[in-house]
Amino acid sequence: MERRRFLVGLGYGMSGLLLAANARPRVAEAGTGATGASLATGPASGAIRQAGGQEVRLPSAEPPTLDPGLAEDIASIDVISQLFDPLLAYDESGTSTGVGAQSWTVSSDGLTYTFTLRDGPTWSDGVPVRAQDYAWAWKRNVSPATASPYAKALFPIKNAAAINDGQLDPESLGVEARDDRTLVVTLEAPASYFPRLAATWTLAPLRQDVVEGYGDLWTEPGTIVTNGPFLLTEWTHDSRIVLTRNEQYWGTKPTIQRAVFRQFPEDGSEQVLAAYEAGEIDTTGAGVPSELPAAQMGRIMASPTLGAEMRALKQSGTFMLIVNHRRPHLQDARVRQALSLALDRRALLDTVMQRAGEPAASLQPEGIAGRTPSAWAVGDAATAAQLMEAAGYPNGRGFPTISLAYSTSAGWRLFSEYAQQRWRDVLGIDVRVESMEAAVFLRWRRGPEWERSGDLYRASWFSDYEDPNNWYNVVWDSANDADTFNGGWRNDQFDALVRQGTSEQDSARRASLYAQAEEIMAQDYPHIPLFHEEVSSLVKPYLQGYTPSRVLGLAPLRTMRVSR
Amino acid sequence: MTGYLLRRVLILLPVWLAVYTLTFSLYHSTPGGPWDRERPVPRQAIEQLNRKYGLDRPLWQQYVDYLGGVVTRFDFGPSYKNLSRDVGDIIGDLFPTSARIGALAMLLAVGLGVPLGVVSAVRRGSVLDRASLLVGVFGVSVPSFVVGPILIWIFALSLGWLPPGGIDSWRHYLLPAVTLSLFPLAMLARATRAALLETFGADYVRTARAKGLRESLVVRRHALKNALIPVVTIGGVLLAEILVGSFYVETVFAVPGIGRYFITSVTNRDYPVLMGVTLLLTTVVALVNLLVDVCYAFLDPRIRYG
Repeated sequence: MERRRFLVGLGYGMSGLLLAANARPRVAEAGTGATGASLATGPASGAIRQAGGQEVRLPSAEPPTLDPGLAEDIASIDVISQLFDPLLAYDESGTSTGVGAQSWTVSSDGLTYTFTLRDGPTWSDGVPVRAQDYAWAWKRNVSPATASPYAKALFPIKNAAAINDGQLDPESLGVEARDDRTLVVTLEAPASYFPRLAATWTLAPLRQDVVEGYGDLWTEPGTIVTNGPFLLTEWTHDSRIVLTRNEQYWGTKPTIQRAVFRQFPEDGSEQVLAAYEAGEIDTTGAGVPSELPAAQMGRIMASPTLGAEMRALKQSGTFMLIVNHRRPHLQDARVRQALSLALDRRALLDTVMQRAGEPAASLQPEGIAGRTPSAWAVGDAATAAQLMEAAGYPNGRGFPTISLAYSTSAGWRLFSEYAQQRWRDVLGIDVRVESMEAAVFLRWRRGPEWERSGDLYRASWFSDYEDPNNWYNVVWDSANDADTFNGGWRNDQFDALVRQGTSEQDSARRASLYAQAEEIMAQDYPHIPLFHEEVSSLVKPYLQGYTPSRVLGLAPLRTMRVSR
Repeated sequence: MTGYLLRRVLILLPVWLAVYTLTFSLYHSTPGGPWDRERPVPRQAIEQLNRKYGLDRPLWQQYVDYLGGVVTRFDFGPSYKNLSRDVGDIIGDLFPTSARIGALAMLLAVGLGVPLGVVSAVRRGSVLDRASLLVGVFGVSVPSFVVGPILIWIFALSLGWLPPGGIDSWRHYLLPAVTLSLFPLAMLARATRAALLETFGADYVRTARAKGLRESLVVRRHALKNALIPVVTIGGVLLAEILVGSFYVETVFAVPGIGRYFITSVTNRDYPVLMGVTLLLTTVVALVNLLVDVCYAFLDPRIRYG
């Protein structure tokens, strides 16, 4: 998934500066939680907190939907993943455990997965969860009539792509409920990462009667029927969502009894911080709606209280510059390497953008099998200048002015101006910076204007599931390029290796195939990695077990606990 | 008067139609569409969405269909972004909050701005007058996105008296309303002062003074009432502006209001929301203007509508 960095406008930047100038460290407000709570969330919540109850208050943005089949943004997925249990789940080390499924087997040809469901899980209205609920949900989500933005998560299943294209009936999808507790999935081709997909929200079960009965309104409290450890009890649009613990949950009951997701504006980092400092929320969250404001970082780090509550949360994602391979002057890998090495990523993060992050040498983030950062070009500004000279552009002579485009945001404007200056100083080339309004930018980069005359643009990719498939195949396979970043890079050997990798059953052989593909990629240096995502977050000391996942920063409520 | 009011309300129809046509052509000529998302939406999904929302039909037909829905069913369409809500729900949820903050702000602006203007006109050139000028310059020139965070820092974070954002109780309304009131307050104070100074030179004020009336009576009965006409004109414009919500104030205080949603709907190319809110805005502006015209008749008996 790509994540849009909602940017702090000029105004917030200014006010941030003002605040920073006036700031003095604040004393801990952990003890005043009760009063803070009654202000923030009303008397009911105050009562739970005063009774020493387990309530957590988190920042969020208004989710566009709570329908697992239609969700594509983190605010929605974060809530959905508390409400709906998929077949299985993965932990940070990549180990899978059954959630809805008790066990599963794979046929020797890798084409058939048979899931045996647990006996016990029920829907929130008491009806048992059946294999048919999964089968129906998958057929519904792959159907073109649903227009699911994540329908591709189902594509490894037999006939899925053809169904989504309108050529086949959704009933022909390779999934069958043999009985109430046996789900048999037939794949189009072997895909060893399929269990990873089965752990995503798009493949969660749904209740046909509810979804069909209430139409677009089925996700409202009162009509929604869920199967996870939490229940949706309140959704005051644009204001807050309240979840309560599902006392009928089949598994280990979470400690948290009530969770309030307070909704902030999408670029509301200052507001989130203010609410945190006023004791109204227990953490500033994992980057949604927004990261900590850059202008306040100095003050936060200088404060003993806030500084101690600060955490850097690693995310499986990379910010990068996409290179247009159709442009003659960018076809030499040495030029791309020179552009990359001329940037001092540490200085960029610490001084220019003032944000957390891990300088990236390679495009793939930590945790993706095959990743080999050491194979990628290293060097400093001098190396960059030499590479440029070797490519036939000593001191930038003969190199045309190139363009660098980005979707308007204050942080990326800082980046672009930094890159512009570095490339002029180090490589002697001129760069034209173009800022575009988000919707204009998104259309432009998939259109002919970019293909014809664009050179570079700013992009990012975040894992939907921590598997090489989500990077090497989904993003970099040239067959998917036009629909993703449209950089025009193509290497047939690379394509062959990653396609082999995606169907390989043996995990060691699979990792080696992806590692070979990575070598090719490192040689070709198709795009310019900038940094891997790290979110700075403040977490109150009494909130324990707040562990947002590297994948999408989803923070499961079931691991959290409030201890005062 | 009734006939006049009726005519004024009827005149809204062509205004609506013009605003509708202009808005419709503006958003359809802006590059980018509602399905241009960060993550590529599959082609089939886009086709399906276009079919579902009628965006695959020719433009003239979309123009007629939407208009037909509004006129016959008072249906402003679904939101493309918030899938379980339609434009009516969104306006119903958010507009009252914005309107309450706006009304409170206007109350503050009138309650403090007009007396401030009167005092500085009566005591022209005094320290009070200069202080009021300072307030005026501050209110007009310091934008709400600067004032808002300062108020949050003082009243929410340092003193802890008021919540820094959100809307849950009456306490949440105070800071946004104060922030929002500063600009109209300053404008009204300056307008009142200028208008009052002008009426002080008028013949009827001189006559009143010559009769030996007390100065306070001269100001209240004779000068102020007549001076209020330009003030009401400006006040109407300001009221219409703040009733429909301020993007900055609603963002700074994380208020779920219509002003913020309006801007978001532009970014999302959420055409029905954009249209619904624009028409709402048109209506509010038109009604407030009507209110202003009716006020004229009360303030100045020479103004008659028939």
